Amino acid sequence: MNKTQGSTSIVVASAIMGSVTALLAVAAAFIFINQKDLPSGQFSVQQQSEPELIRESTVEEEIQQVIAWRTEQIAKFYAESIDPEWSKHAQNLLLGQFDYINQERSLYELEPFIVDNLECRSSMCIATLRWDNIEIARDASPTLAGYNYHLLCATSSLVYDDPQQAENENYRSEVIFRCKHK
Amino acid sequence: MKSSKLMSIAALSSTIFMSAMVLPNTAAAAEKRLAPSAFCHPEYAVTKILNNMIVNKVQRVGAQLRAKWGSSTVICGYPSDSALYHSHVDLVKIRGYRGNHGDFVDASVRACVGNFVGTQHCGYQTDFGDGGNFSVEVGDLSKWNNYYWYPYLSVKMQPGDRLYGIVATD
Repeated sequence: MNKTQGSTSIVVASAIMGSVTALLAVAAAFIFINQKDLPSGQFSVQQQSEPELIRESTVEEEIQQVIAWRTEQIAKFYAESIDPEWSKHAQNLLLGQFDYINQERSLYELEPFIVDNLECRSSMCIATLRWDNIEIARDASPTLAGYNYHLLCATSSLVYDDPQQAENENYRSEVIFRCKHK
Repeated sequence: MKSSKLMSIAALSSTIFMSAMVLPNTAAAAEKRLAPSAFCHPEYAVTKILNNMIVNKVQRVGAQLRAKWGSSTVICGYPSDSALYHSHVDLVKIRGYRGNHGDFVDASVRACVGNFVGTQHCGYQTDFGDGGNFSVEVGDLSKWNNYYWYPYLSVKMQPGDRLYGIVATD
C-alpha cells in the first residue's frame, strides 16, 4: 500500500465513522425529543435547571426578608382608603372565623389565641393575634394561613423570632389578608 | 489538502449532531402525579370511637384520601426536586369527589409555602364545587414562585369528600 492509498483509506474510514456517529446522534435526539409523549403517570427523565441557587439563607436572613415584606404590606395597607361597608363586613366575618378556629382548636385541646386587633380598609385586613408563646403561634401558623375565611383573600401568617417581642410575656403574630375586592 | 477537507467535514458534522443531542430539550413537559394517600395528611390526626370501632377522621384508601367525619384541613406536601421544582409548576390539578353533605359547603384548595421560621403564605382559594366528581385547577400558584420556601397545598374537606389525585405540570 503506497502513501496515497493509505491517506485515501483514512479519509474514507473517517467519513464512514462520521456518518455512523451522525446517524446515532439523530436516533438519540429523536428518542430524547419524544420523551414528552410519555403516557400519563410516567416521569420524564429530563432534569430541570436549578433556579439561581447560590445558597440557602440563614435564619436571620429569613427573618429580615419577612420583616421587609411586612413593612411593604403595612405601607400598602395604610395607603388604602377605607371602604366603610366592606371593612365592617370583612371585620365581622373574620372575627367570626377566628372564633370558629379557636372553637376547633379547643376540641383538640390546643391553646386558644386572643384577637388583639383587627382592622380592614378597602381590600386588605391585618389581624394581631396574641398567644401564650411563639411555639404555639408557629404550630398554628399553617392553619391561619390556609384557612378558608369565606373572603377571597391571599393570606399570610407572620410568625418569626421578633427581637422587639423578646421581653414580652406573650407572643403576637399577624395575619395579613389581601383580598379580591373593588 | 482534499483529504484534510473531507476529514474536517466529517468531524464537523459529527460535532454538530452530537451537540444537538446534548442541548437541553426545553419543549418537553415535566409532570408529577401525587397519590393523596402518600402525600397528604390531616392537620390534626384524630380518631373517634364509633360503634365500638376506632374511626379515623381522614382515611387512606388505596391512592385516595377520604374524609369520614367532621370538617378536615388536609396538608399535601409537594415533593419539589429537580424533576419539577415547585417554582417551575404552571398548573396543578386536583381531582376528587364532593360528598355533597347538606350544609357542608366549604371544600377548597390553596397553594401555600412556609419558611423555616414559621411564616406561611397562601394564595387565593379555589372551591371544589357542589357535588360529585370534580377536577379543578388550583387558581393561584403565585406563592409557589419563591424557590427557597417549602410548598404545600392546604385542602379543606368535608365528610364524604374524597381526594383522588394531584397532577402538577410545567
